[in-house]
Amino acid sequence: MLRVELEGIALQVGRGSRLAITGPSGAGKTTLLRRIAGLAQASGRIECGGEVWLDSVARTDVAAERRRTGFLFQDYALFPHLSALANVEFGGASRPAAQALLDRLGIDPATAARKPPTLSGGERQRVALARALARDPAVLLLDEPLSALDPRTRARAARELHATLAAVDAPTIVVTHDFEEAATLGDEVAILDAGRIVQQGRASQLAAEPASAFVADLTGAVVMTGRARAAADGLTVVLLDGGGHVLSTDEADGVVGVSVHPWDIALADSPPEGSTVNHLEARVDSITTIGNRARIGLHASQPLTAEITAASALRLRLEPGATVVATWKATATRLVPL
Amino acid sequence: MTSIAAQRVHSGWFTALLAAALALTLLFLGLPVIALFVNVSPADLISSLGDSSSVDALRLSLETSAIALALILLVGTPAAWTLATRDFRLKPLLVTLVELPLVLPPAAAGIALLAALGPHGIAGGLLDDAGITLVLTTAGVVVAMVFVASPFYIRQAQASFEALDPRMLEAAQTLGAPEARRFVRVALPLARNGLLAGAALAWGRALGEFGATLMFAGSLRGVTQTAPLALYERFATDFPAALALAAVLVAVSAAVLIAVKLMTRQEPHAASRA
Repeated sequence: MLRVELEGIALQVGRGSRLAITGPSGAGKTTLLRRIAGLAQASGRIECGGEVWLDSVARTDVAAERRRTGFLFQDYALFPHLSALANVEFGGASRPAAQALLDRLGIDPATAARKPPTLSGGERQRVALARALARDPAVLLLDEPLSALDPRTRARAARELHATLAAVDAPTIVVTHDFEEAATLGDEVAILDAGRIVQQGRASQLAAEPASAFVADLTGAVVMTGRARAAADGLTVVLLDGGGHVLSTDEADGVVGVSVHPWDIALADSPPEGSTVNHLEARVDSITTIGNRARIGLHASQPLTAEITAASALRLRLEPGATVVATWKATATRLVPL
Repeated sequence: MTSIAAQRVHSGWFTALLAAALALTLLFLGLPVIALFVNVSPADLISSLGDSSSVDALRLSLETSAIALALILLVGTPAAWTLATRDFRLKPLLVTLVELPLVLPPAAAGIALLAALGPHGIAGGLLDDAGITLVLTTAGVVVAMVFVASPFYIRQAQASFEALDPRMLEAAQTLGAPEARRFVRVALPLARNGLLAGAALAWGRALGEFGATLMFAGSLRGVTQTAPLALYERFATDFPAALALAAVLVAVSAAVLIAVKLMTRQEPHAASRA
């Protein structure tokens, strides 16, 4: 069990569980990992597996080399003058143990004999992971483990990393700027903003019930702004800044953020029947097809994004400049504080 | 259009200026070295090497400069690491002190050494009690060499350690390596090229040491008369022999410089972050 109590941050990660920390750049994600590892000054309390690593009150501050952390650096920081195998052995693992670990991660002995500068990005990432795991760490800290990879290998590397981490018993913290990646890699996701954790929970829970417009935006939801007041049938109506209105089943009053997920937005030629269905007339700004999905950039009174099947995009004959009606249910509309 | 044409003219005369500056530099630095070899016939070279006093002087130079270099590496490397990795209040003063011999006139360095370590120097009594005599001894030659040459190495070593990617040392730290292990297994191999270059500079300076050696250790044949001192003695009485000795010194120095260049060319570790 890892317990971290620093200013603005209280975390607990149990054995075998994984916490993903995400937030915008400059939120302090890397600094938090460095503080846990003892590479950066901190004040508060850090405890891992019954050992106290940091206690500002008792003036305890265990040196980084004596905290048993497995640290995966953002650009991997492999020793360029040592072979991949020697890199893994550096932390004290025996040669057979190091090679067995590399084998498990798909690095064969011939590749393991090579020096890091000659390896591909994916190979370097797995060698660095093996190196961090080789010393049997009490806590595993991964700083943007996938950001140095090119976008095409990233999704596969994310699934492989998830499988590898599932077999790790040590409490694990993964830092990433990408919410989807955080959702894939962590059992729970914590959102960090300006050095403070603003919300923590399961990824699905954060997406469904964002505590603020900031969190909603980070989870990839569309966020619009407006003024809420009570409406008929216990619903809330929000008059959007710039014109138009939407209904929500959430309760709110005054200035609010309206959050809706792109995949909950449907597009049509004409306004739908039934008044409880939200609909906004919008201009098509951009169309990005990703496999069988299409992301449609729209501009109503405020910008929004819809995600529909590529087939419907074709059927609707969408093209930049065209006018469509974006619709979604009042039940899919979250009202969040700004 | 006119402005582009004007710029071309401008860059034309500037390129010519740069080429002229480079040509002048090459001529000025190269001519004396070439003249040396033009003036020395192979027969002179061989006969000068047959002269036992020249050979003694060369051997003494190589031995003392090798010992001086070993001492500089052994003590200077950890000292440079300390200066590179720690911050303390008197550090700027200390760094200036380390660099002082770089700008000190060698004769002044010799006097300073006498004042410190000579028979009547401030530490002379201590050395005397320990049974150590430096003045007019081979050990004195080594002391003079270390004094004038070590700053060349320490400065370069400190800069090389400071230029290391801090993430490398942090990675070693998270892998449980205490400082001694980080120094030996990570810092030394990664700073290798810079350390070698610094060592070559320091060795070259030690090999050429003249003023401080003369003042502190004297010029006794076979004991303290290094090649530069022998060369100076010869120059008044036997110019061709002096030329031959100079040619040998140039050849040895050039060989070391080329060897270091070859050793540092391979394995550019620094490119690892790309």
